[in-house]
Amino acid sequence: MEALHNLGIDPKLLLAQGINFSLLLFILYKFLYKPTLKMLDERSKKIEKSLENVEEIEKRLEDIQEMEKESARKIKEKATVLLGEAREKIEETKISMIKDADIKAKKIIENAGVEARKEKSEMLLDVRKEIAGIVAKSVTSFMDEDYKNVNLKLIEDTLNEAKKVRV
Amino acid sequence: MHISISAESIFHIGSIPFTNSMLAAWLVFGLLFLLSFLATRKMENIPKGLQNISEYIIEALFNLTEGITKDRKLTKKIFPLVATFFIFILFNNWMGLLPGFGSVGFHETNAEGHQVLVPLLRAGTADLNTTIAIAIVTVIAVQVMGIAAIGVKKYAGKFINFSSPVNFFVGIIETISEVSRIISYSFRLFGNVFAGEVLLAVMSTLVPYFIPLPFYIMEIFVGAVQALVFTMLSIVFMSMATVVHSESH
Repeated sequence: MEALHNLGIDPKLLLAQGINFSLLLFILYKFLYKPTLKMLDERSKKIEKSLENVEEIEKRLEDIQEMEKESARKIKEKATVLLGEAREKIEETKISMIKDADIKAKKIIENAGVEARKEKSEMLLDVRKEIAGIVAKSVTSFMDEDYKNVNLKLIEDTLNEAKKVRV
Repeated sequence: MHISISAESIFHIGSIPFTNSMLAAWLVFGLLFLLSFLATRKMENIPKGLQNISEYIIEALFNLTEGITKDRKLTKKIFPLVATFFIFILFNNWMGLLPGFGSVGFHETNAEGHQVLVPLLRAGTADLNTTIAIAIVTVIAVQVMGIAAIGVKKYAGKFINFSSPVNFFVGIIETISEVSRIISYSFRLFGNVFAGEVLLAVMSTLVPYFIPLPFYIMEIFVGAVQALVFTMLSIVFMSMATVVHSESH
């Protein structure tokens, strides 16, 4: 016991230090280890979960991209079909319009021909009347003014003229 | 210069002396309480500052323990104890290096009639009472772990075994080794820290400037190593106690 005393060992102090240490253990457990370990555990779980999520997100992204491609392809197809239809319709319209125009043109030309002939005959009639008038007038005036100088040849010529116009 | 192996008492509470090493141990206690409280007061998912440091230390200690035990369940059980050993010893060792420890105090006339300086503070681990106390805690914890893991009967069979004369003597040796562990733990720690203190005191008296500096650096290293040694040995013995000894071995 003397040796222990010389080394400064005192059972009372020993107990006090033991209690001190146990108290520290309790406090550190409560305030440091427990919350920190819990935090570390939670965090690693969270990271694990987010890594798993990343895989899923990537997969979904791929799916979405695939879908986008698919829909783009479909849209293109539809557009091509629509464009083809539109072109066909335009062609049809074009043809029918040309046909219509042709018919109309022919009609117009026909009408024009008839009209022209009618006018021509009317004109001829007028001209003949006029010429006949003129001839009559000249004949009467010749007869009135210079009966003697009646030139048969003139009459003949005039008649010839009238014949030419008739043609 | 006066060197005392035992911690000097500053005052008495009833019949219990209050020593300078006790005061330092209580200071460590208070400091650790404050630090741990501050570190875990506002836990955030992205750690910052004190929380980051404490998380780093705890994770490192946890991995060290798990690396030795190779058993997560056992690690979770013994971790609080071994981590407290490490932190408490480390803080006590390093706190003893702070200026004021061993140098600030009051004069007293000792039994031989000499005027001696009684320091107000002395590193907690530079007192056999502290080191023996934690060594006893370790040895008790080892026994508790052993009993909890393999049962009272099997565990007691390690020490009291009448199956053969050889096993009987092995049992006795095992018992002695358990008890002697208290001494080896406590004296190794106390010896290292106390020797360091004496060394620094002597060097500082001989050449007060610059020369003690490398010794201070070495003592910082020794303080960390001793904390680690104590902790590692505790982990090793605790994990050993949980394994059943085979007959062939």
